[in-house]
Amino acid sequence: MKAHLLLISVLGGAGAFSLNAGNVTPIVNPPVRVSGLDAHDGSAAASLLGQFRTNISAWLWVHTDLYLHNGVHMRPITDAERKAGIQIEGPRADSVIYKEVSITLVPSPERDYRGIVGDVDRAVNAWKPMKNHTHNDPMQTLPLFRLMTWLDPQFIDGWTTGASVLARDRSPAGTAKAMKLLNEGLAQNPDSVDILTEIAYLDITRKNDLNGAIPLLEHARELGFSHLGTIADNERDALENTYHWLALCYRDTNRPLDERRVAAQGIGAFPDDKVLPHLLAGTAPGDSAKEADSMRVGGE
Amino acid sequence: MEYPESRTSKAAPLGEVAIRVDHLAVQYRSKVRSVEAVRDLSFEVREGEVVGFLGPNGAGKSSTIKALIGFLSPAAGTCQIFGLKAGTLEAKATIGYLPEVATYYPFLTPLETLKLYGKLQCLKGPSLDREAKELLSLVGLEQAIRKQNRALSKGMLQRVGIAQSLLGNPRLLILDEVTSGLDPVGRRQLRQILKDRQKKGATLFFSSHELSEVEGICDRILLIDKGSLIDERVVLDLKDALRKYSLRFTGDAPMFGLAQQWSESDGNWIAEFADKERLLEGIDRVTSGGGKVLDVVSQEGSLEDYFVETIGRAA
Amino acid sequence: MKLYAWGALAQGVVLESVRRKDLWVVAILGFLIMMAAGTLGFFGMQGLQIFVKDLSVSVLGMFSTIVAILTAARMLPDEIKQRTLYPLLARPISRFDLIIGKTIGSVLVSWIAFLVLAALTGIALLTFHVKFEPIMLQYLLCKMMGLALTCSLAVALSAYMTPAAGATMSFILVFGSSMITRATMMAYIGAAPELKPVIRIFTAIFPEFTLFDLGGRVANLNWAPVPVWVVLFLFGYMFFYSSSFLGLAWLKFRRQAV
Repeated sequence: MKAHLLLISVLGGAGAFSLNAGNVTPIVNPPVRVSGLDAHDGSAAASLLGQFRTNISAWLWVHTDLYLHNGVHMRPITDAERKAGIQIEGPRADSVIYKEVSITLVPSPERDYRGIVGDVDRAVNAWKPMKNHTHNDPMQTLPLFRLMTWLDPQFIDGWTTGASVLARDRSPAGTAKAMKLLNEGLAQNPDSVDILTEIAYLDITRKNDLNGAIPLLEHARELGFSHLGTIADNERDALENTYHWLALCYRDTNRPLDERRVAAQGIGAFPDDKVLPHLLAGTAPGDSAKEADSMRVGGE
Repeated sequence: MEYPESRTSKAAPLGEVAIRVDHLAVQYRSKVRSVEAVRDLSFEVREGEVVGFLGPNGAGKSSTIKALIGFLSPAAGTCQIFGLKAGTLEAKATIGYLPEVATYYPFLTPLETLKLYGKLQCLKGPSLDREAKELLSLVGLEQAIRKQNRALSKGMLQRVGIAQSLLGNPRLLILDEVTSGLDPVGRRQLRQILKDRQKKGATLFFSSHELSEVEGICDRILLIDKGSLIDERVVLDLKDALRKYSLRFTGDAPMFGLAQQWSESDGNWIAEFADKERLLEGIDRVTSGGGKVLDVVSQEGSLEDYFVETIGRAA
Repeated sequence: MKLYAWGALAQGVVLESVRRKDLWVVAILGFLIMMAAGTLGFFGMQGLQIFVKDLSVSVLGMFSTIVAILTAARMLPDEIKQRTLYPLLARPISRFDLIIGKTIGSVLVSWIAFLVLAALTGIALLTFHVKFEPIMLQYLLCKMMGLALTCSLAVALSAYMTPAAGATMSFILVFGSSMITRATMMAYIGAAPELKPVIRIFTAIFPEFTLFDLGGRVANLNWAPVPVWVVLFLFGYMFFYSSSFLGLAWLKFRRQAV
């Protein structure tokens, strides 16, 4: 009887915790959230402690890496290991996945002092030499993204990356699935710059519907620009893309004034952006630098 | 009261020593202090004897029994069972033990319980099954043989305990509070079971608070208090010692120096004597003095009075 | 005689656990979780293979370990607390026999829970069109060895601490085994030369429970079965550490007054 109660309370607690994990004090709307993947990328200890993350969606995010690597656990290399001359075991040069500065969690023979126990460890775990490794089809990660969105609907990366994976299928059916997911995410997060931009991106790249994309991008732009000082990093990155796509849409729909307006505002918000000055330069004549200065947000 | 038959020490077989306890000391240590439960206890029990181990609560009875079984190691002294060191496998193979607080696996049935314990004694197969059923029938549990232990009452669990202590026909039965939880019918049945075992040559060593049970079947009693042995008596001798005789007579026969007390009532005398010899002498004095013996009454002494008095004296 | 006594004790443990219905709660919960995974089917079966296998091994591993620890950790303390120990120890069996018999019983209970869950999981996997692979059999075998080691650890800890503390420590050491091992290895690289032997000794003393988990290979694609020598090594490893743990338990229990 006591075992029943313990088990049920553990599971109930875990379930309640995970369902409430998304309610971790969103400070502003769109929610401020440190990307779980960033922590995983940057810190070996954080990666090692992945299984004890307090945010289950971030844990699932880390798990997607595992699926891509066919079960081989990777972790960032530590400074001590770099100093000791240990080489990273990154992906093949032609890989389209982001750059990795990782090594395998189960150590390779040259950095394992355990002798036969280490050999057994490598034999029983999903381990192989990962230098110049390739990745599994990202479609294998879809269930994880679906879980992320269920457990933590405010985890924007879950919606957008899941949709990206679905959209790898460039057929109408694949596009429709991706759009459906994004629209569901938008319903949960109506003020998300990233989701709005992703929907617009699919309209542009899959349906060639620039006029359909423009209202979405404008809405995203307004949302992001009005909260420029407080939005999360990933929303900020998405906002930069919003400016890119919006300016391109206006250019390709022959609306140079709007293109100019958007590009100039974007440069003001993202002075280091490399794309927007080119877009601005391609619009009506004028001093692009002066126009950018006049649009820059005061006090920044 | 009708006295049940019991064996006298003269009739007890002089078999080998079943239990030998030599200067036993048992201590319980906690972080704060050390408590001496048994100190310098020595006694013997011969094979074939039935010995009652009596004492007030906290006297050290259960601690002594635990040392005999091997549940704890003595701080000093030794315990032997049929010459074997107590607690060894060979010694335990000769013992049937009934714990003071009987608890058995709640989800097993009495039959499964006995078969489990029987297997630990190397009993096997159909003979074990048969013996287990016979013992459960003997203790009156034939109807409850397949009920789980958690569904049984305290008395029924005590019967399960008695049955398991008899498994394998042990040479020595150590029974701690054997009648606990039993109704009068159960106690009578138990008394008969124990007597039958004794007739078959088993040695019985049991502790009990029920003095009537003790005097009903024991040959000898050991009285313990505050961890030490304070008295050891043969039951029959004790009963004789406790018995009182009263004589009602007429005449003027002097009873001074003979009777414990005497008084006059309605023209007759009543004198009380401590033993039979004094009574007979008193009768002689009455008849030789010209008096008439009207009545002689023999009165059984109270074991409870003896118990309380002896414990009180020792305190 | 000893084997017969151990078998009798183990049989008692299994009967009690089965009738107490602990195992059925685990089986039902595990099955429900697996079935819940089926709701992800709206993405189509593509992409689900790794996920359902990953979920299966996670559920199997977690629940069977929970049963193993909860059963083994309360084995001895419950016997003492409920006083069922007295009629047992009055029998001609040693305290060592009692420890072995009870541990075998808890191992059998955890194996039964594991195999029942594995069977239910297998049925669930069939509905997702996951094919059977030989490595799955190896996974079952190695996991069962791991559960035996887990039970031994829990029994040993229960001899030295309360059941709750023993169970908690067991959970930490078993579920945290991977983290402890990997952190130790990371620390070794940057450790001072005089500390390295200490780390090596610590690694040798502390058993790696993750060695018995082939879940990573089972869940993912196209991993070959492990060589036979690895399975034999694991058996020896399990036997060595289990014996050590049970020896530690006996050292404490043999002198304990009950």
